[in-house]
Amino acid sequence: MSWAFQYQEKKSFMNNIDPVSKLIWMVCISVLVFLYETPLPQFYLLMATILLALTLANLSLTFILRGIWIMILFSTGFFVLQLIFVPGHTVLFYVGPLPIYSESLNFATAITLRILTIFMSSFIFVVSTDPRDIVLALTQKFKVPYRFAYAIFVALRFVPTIESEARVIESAQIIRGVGKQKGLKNKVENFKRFSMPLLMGAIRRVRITANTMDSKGYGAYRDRTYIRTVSITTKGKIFAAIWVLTLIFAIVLKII
Amino acid sequence: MDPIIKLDNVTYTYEDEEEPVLKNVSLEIYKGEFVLIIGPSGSGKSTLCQTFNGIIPNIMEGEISGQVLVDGKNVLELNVKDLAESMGMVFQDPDAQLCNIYVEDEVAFAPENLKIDPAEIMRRIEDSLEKVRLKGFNYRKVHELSGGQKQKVGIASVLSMKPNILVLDNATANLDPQATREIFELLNILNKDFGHTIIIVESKIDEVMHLADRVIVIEDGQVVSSGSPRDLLETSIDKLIDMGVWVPEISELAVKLSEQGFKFNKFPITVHEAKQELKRSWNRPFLISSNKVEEMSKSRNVYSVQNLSYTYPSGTQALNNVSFNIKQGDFVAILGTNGSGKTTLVKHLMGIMKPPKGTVFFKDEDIHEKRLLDMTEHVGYVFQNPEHQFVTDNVLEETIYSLLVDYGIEKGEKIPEEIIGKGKEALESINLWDSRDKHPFNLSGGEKRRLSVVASLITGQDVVILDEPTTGQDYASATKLLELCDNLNKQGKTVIMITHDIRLVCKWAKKALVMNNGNLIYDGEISQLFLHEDILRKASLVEPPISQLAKQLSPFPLKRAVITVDEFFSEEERVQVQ
Repeated sequence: MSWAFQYQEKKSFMNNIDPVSKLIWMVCISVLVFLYETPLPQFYLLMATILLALTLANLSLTFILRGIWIMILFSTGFFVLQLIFVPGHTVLFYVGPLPIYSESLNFATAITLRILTIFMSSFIFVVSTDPRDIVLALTQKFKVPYRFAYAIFVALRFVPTIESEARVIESAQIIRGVGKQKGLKNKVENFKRFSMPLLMGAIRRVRITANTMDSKGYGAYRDRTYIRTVSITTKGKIFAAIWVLTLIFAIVLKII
Repeated sequence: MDPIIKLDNVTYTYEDEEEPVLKNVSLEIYKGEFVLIIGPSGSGKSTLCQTFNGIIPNIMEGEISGQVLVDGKNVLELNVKDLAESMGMVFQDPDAQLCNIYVEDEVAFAPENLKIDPAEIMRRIEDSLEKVRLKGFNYRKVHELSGGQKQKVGIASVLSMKPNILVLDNATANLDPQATREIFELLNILNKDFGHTIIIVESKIDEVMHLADRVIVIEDGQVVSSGSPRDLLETSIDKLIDMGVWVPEISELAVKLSEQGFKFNKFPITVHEAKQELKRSWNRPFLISSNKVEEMSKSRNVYSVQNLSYTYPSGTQALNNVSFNIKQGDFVAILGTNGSGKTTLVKHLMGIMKPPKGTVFFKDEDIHEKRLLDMTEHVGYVFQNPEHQFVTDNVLEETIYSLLVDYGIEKGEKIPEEIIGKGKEALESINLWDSRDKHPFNLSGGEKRRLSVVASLITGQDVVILDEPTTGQDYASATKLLELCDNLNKQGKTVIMITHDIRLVCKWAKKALVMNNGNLIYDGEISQLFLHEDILRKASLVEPPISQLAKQLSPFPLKRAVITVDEFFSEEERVQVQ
């Protein structure tokens, strides 16, 4: 199973620059999308982000779609809900008996585009950054205690293992006849059946992991040495600087 | 000389338990020793290992008394980290103990935590990877390695702390015979050439016993004997077998020979030694005995596989043009290294993976047309981890679950006597009727597996497929499981089993299918398999010691391999009793 929403080893500008600069870029994008309330600037920002994904991150359009389709579904639903429930007074048209207001349309579009932009930028960050470098950046540059940063890192590393175990359990239980019985009560029962072995397996594994990490001196001292250091690249600095300047410019424009 | 590990009257009770797991254990292990710890499952072997580096009682809580001294340090008064540079530990499940993405980071992990200078760490990485023969693997991803390579990375990742002592707790249980042999060779080198003290808990006795300087036997939380492998086997092999642990096949033979009056100069524990002892008195060839498979030829096919191929989405070819038949009432072992396509093959037989049209037929019906649920009415499938298949809260319900589903009996409704009767019969066959109210998760490993076999066959399926059912099991529970399968087989059911345990295969199975890189390279009788050296080599199969010995003793090539101690003895009169 290839899962799109994970680090992809490839050559691209985004892969080459350091995680710190990329984080600064993400912060800038996130602040930018909150500066505007109308659809048009949101649209530009989303386009800019997608353009960046296609060029600087060297991702194909199909790959991007594969990575964010769940988010597209989600935001479409979100869009419809906003459209219906956000109040307005200028009626644009009716869908059956339901009035659609132009204010709600504007608002819903802006909000939806905003969500997509934020999601898109995190997608670019994740697929272009080796998780190991994220940990190193957190501990070395942001002074996050390494015990904390590593804990998250290790937890994430087990996601694929648990995923594949879940698939095994699913077929193992179908073979026992789970799923033959219908009805909500059985659905709830089945969920319990499914999660129990998964949980037991996970707990056992976590215990072994904890034991090995401890016997390898994890957490023995407050800090540790590193064979690798994250250095902030010149390219990264320039990239981050451009976005910070853009952000300042946008804020200044907004104030004037 | 002072011992490097010294336990003095250690008693340990897990938190929330009353009965201690370790009872008054005292033992000494010396620098440079290669110590093998054996004992039935649940006897406290793993617990014992965990006291060495302070996981007990520092991480696993509970009550401990006595004294543990390692490398001159008082373990009970220290933290796990203080022992890190004295001792490295490797466990069974490679995926749980490797927590980094890249090999290099994994090896660097411990010394980084111990604040070793980065330049020194880089030297240690090279050194450790070279010792485990994974030089140049620095930037490989851990999860893309084979099971054997992962365990070697596990060893390298503790070697980088420069510990004197290495402890391996069942580290080869998930590995195939080839990878297992490589790990043992590696341990031997680390012990002999680099002076590491090695302590291992193992059940793959045939490959490792002769490497050990000393064997410690644990039963019920106590050290019951300790001595050189030869002395131990010569004096107490019967006790070991009764206890339910594996003993070397050669020694099993030797004991029977000495019971019949044969005198050994040196009690043999390896094929080579047995040959030296026996060649003086071995004067006649083995006869060709009856053919176990002959009677099968008239039965109908339960499975017919024709030109089955399968390629993973990643492009790896898992099955390449595989064709074979399995007859009703057969007992088939599927052999081959990990990654050779065994599991993929049986998943196609079950329909968990849908075979293409016209490739796999179950009793002349194309499985392509059938749903998985339909297949479950005819075939029971036992997964590698029995827990994955458990779906209820108690043993009896677990056994009859499929019946309840078929009869549409909802939870809480009254269960008809007839169904309970069937469950009782099934549970009695595996001696679990008394445990019927327990939670299936609370059974022992062996009980879990036997339960999942009878539960899989409760609706009267006449074929059962088992995926590595004996992995990591001690002799007693592996034998019980195979006896269960043999009983089912005698009732006319077809048994298909993936396994690496060649001795069990030889004793119980009739036919073998050998997979190698997605190709079926052998399809035939088991005893004939061991006459094909090229196939054994290709599939990295380990020939049972008894067969090796018989071949070496026979003055001319055998027409049929001798594959069990009993078969060897059916020719017993050929050994001249001195």
